[in-house]
Amino acid sequence: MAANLRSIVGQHICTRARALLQGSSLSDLQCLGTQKRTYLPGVAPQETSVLAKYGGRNTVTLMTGDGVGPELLSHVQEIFRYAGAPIDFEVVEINASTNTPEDMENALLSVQRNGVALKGNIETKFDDPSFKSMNVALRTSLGLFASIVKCKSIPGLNLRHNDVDCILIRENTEGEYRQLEHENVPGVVESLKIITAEKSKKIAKFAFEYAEHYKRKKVTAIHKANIMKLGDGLFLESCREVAKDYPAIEFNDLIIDNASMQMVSRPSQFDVLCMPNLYGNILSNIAAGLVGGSGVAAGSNFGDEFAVFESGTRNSGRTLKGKNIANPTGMLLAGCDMLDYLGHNQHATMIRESVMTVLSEKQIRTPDIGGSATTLDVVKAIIDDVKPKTLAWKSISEHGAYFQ
Amino acid sequence: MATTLRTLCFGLAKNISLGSSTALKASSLGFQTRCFHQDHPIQQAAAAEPVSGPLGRHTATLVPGDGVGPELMGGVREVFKAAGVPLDFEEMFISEVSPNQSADLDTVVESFMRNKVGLKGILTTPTTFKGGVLETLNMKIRRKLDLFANVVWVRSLPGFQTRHNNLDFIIIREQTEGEYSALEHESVPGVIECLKIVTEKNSMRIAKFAFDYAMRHNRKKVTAVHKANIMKLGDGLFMRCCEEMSKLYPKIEFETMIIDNCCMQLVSNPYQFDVMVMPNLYGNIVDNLAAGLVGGAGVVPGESYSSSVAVFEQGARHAFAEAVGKDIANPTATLLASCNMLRHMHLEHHARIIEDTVLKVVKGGKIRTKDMGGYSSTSDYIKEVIHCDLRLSGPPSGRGADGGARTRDRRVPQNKKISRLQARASDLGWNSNPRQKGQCRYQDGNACSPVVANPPQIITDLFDADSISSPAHGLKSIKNLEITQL
Amino acid sequence: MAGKTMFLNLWRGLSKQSPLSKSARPCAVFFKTQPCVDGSRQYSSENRLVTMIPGDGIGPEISVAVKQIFSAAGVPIEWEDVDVTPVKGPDGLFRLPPKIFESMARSKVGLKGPLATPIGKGHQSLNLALRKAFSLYANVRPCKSIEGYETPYKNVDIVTIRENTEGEYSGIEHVIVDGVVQSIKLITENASMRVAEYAFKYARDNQRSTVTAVHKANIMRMSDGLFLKCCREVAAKNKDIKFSEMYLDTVCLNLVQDPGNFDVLVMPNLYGDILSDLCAGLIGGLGVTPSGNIGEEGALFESVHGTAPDIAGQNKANPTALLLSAVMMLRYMELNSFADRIENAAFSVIREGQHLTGDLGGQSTCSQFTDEICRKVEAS
Repeated sequence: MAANLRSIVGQHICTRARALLQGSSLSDLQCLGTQKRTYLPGVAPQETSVLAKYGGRNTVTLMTGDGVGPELLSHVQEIFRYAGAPIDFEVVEINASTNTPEDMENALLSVQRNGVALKGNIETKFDDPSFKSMNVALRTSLGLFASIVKCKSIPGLNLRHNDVDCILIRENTEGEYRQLEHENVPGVVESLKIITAEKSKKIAKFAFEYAEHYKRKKVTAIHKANIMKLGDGLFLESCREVAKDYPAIEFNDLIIDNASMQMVSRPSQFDVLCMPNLYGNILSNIAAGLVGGSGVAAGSNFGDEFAVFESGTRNSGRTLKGKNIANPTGMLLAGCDMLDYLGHNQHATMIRESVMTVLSEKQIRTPDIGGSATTLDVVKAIIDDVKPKTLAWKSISEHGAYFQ
Repeated sequence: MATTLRTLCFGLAKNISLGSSTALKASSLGFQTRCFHQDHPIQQAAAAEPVSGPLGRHTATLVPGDGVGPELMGGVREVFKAAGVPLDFEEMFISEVSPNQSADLDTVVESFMRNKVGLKGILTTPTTFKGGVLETLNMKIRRKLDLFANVVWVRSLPGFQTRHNNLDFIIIREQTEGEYSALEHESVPGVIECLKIVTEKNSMRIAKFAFDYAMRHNRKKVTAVHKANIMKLGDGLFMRCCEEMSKLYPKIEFETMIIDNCCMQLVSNPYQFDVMVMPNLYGNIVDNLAAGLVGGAGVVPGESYSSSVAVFEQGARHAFAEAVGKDIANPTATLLASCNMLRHMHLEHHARIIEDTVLKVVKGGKIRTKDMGGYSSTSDYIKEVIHCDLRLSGPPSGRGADGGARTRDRRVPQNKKISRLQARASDLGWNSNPRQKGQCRYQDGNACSPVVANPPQIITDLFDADSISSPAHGLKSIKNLEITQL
Repeated sequence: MAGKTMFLNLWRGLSKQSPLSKSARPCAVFFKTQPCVDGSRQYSSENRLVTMIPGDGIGPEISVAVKQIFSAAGVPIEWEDVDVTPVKGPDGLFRLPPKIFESMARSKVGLKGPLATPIGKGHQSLNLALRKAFSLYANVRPCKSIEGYETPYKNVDIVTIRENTEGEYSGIEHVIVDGVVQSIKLITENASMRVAEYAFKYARDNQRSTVTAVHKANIMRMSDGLFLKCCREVAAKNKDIKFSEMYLDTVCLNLVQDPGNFDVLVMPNLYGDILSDLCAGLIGGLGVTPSGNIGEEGALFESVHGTAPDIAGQNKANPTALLLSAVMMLRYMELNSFADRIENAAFSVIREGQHLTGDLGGQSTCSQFTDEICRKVEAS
């Protein structure tokens, strides 16, 4: 539908220009003028004005982050190389210790140039109130309004639930995270939570578009409208309104406390969840815990133009740093999502399958999911699994068969 | 001939401490698909690439083109075969001057789209216009594939003296619109109007490409070339777009220059340039001019990019039809272009071997074609490239630790101040990418990274100091993993 | 030497006496505005009027230098200085003073120093106005290596002749839709024929052997195709001069590799703009390159370098470009003996390298350089 719209807009401009040019053969002068951008969730805009994609290769910003971020990202790069993924990385060293406005500015510019980033988590020092969270700053200044965490059980892991498959979509720019706090009188602090109809509708629309595009059945809105009648009420109302445009997708809503309980008791009932900022944070961590902890879930943040991919839960894993035991799965899956976003679906599928094979069939796992292997063992196993797959390919084509 | 190159590879691999058994096993796996004799295990190790990468074979489209194109492409095939490059060509002949043998345009375009990478000779366009379609075949291919950016990296060849030496700058050209719009009509008899189209979208796109390219290759300055003093709207738009885009790249200096002044500066002081970006026609002029500065059409490779396809060809497009069958064409540009193609496909190892060999042959000076002032034939040249032994004197270009430390003839023109850029240009040899100087901004396969990379150093760049100092598994296991390159 | 040139001049002067013999020359049509009507102006003993536009920045200094050298050589020329500072017209717009047009209409020949172009000030461009008023259709720039001024290129001896009225510089541009600009390149048969004919005439008058048409007809098949067709037609009429045609990009490629292969180049506007500056670069820059604009109603010779406001008034400027342009002017006025004397003097001063200005790598001032040339001229 969206693609249709795009071509209609394009055609319109072309015809106008052609009429002006008095029948000159302008048909091949494509892309005249500026086109209105319509987004598909999870698919990169095909205009190169946003992405740095040339000759089939994408340049992607790599923000190293704190803790295990740098290690894991280097493994992702390594596996990408073996898989022949056409990605080049522009490495931006950013972490809690390099917190100058200039560094931040550079990181932001880099994402704006490349359109896409893969990011390790940056620690936030919460003991210092003057310290603004860089993760939040990144989201607000890039307009990354939607955050997605994918939680899917990995078969073969010995966990309590093996049927989790949910997508948690979270409003990322307002709500409790506006950082509007002040002390009215000594000992009384007010923290403002902002909910706007505009952003609520935008996230709801995003959730439904996403569900439609990835053939999901149900969208659940999470809220606390029984208490915060105005704020969360507005959010819920917006979701209901948008839901009317998508009759094919089932819509229901749940209160956050109930949802948390349901999530740990019967997680299989959830499909796509749509929620404001703070609830999203809570639920996504719960869901990630269900599928194996912070090392397994993949996360992504989308804006109108930019996308940032990271591990699902925003922990930097400082204690694991340098010990070679961090779980690379989450970061790798985030990398695969990024490949999907950029349209390199074959590479994404290939790596994803290899990860699953290694974790569930070969049972090479890091300690956090009940194994005894090191990070490098897992990475090596994945590479060994990826390598022969590339032998089979003749050429990578978008419409041709990938494996022969 | 294959033997020499193979032993050459062996020599290389010996330098690379790939002694571990995992590496050997993994390498021999890949080797089965790409070597000739599998009976000597040691040679198997030798010919396998010491860099991490996919094992599969790649396919690229090959359009030999008119004139001497087919001869040169034959040479490339021979060299690739000898070097054991895991690449298959999908060859299709297309031509405007001999339409009878020509393949269908759509087939060719489809092949490029499918393979995403291609090597292309030069297609001649007949000058005489007899009515009909105004667009030339070259333009059609470019439009269909949307190859909007053309890059010509002008570098002086070590050991080959021209008037200006140690040149190293990049010319980026928009090549889908501008004067090449093919919109022409005769309004009244004897008066012809030719439309030049400049769009904001395409101007932004090429500006972004130029800055991205500059970032990627650690360049310091981008110069936008225009004629906005006359074409205030058209070229003005182009210049404005470049200016706007430059704001996203605060680390890169931006300046503008008028095309006529630019040409003058190019012949009098070309050292001041770094990356240049310009509309279509000016690009055509500057490409050729710059190619002339470093030795002519036969030595400068070029490449064209769309967002999904990359086509590699000569930098200055001359079919050299008068040399057909005479075996005198210079294959340097085509060979270097093919190396760039390999590099683009993540086959750095092969790219490096071939490029080093070509440069060595040029530097040796014994085998040179006529246009370089020698008497050798094309086939002699190709033969020399195949048989040239890198082991004896080491590669001509710096590699790893000795990168950039080569002695080169420096002929600084008298009465000229040595600018900062010029000094930089003389420091930069081929292959001595700034990355080797410890900057390491882009970790990818596409940058020219040394074959014998220094693993600890690169890992320092990636990991924090902490992780290095806790090497329970640390470097050793990383070596086992063949992470010689990241 | 001096005697010989005197004799030559005398001979030329004699041959010029007869208006008949002049009109019998094949390309005399281009000289229809030359002083053949007014017979008195042909005697070299009488002073001929030349309009002088000193220009801005270093302009006044270098024009004084040129005048000084001319008077040392005893050139029979009377200068009429004209100031071209725009004046406010009755309608409130700034315009060029009418005096410049009156003066040029009388003298038909002008010499112009560098002018500062105020960008975007909205008043008329002098070049454009003069070009229109006197239909200056061809821009000629002879680029010859100067002995004593080292560049990487030697033996450059190229003349670029550029169509000056149409092509890409038609000034017709418009925005079709937002973000899409269309500029029109205009090629007409008349203008192409005119410049092609002038190129062959120039080649013949200056003992040149080859005229090369520079084009891009493989891309702009119709427009450059028309230009090329016109050149071919004219070439067919002028069999005594060799004719060749080359692509613009090939010319660029070969120019920087071996500039000795080229002789006279004729081309449309934009290409000419680019190639003429390129050739200037080959011989050391615009500071030593003369330029002339030839038209049906007159001719304007100029130095095309900048106004160099940073060294204006400091007696450091290099008058070579304006002087060589003035020499071109003398040739155009068929005062060849004076032209040769002055040119030889200037070249020998540069060759000897004792009195060079800063931009040529010397230490001397503008006046020292000028005095030295005057001395040589007087001695010759």
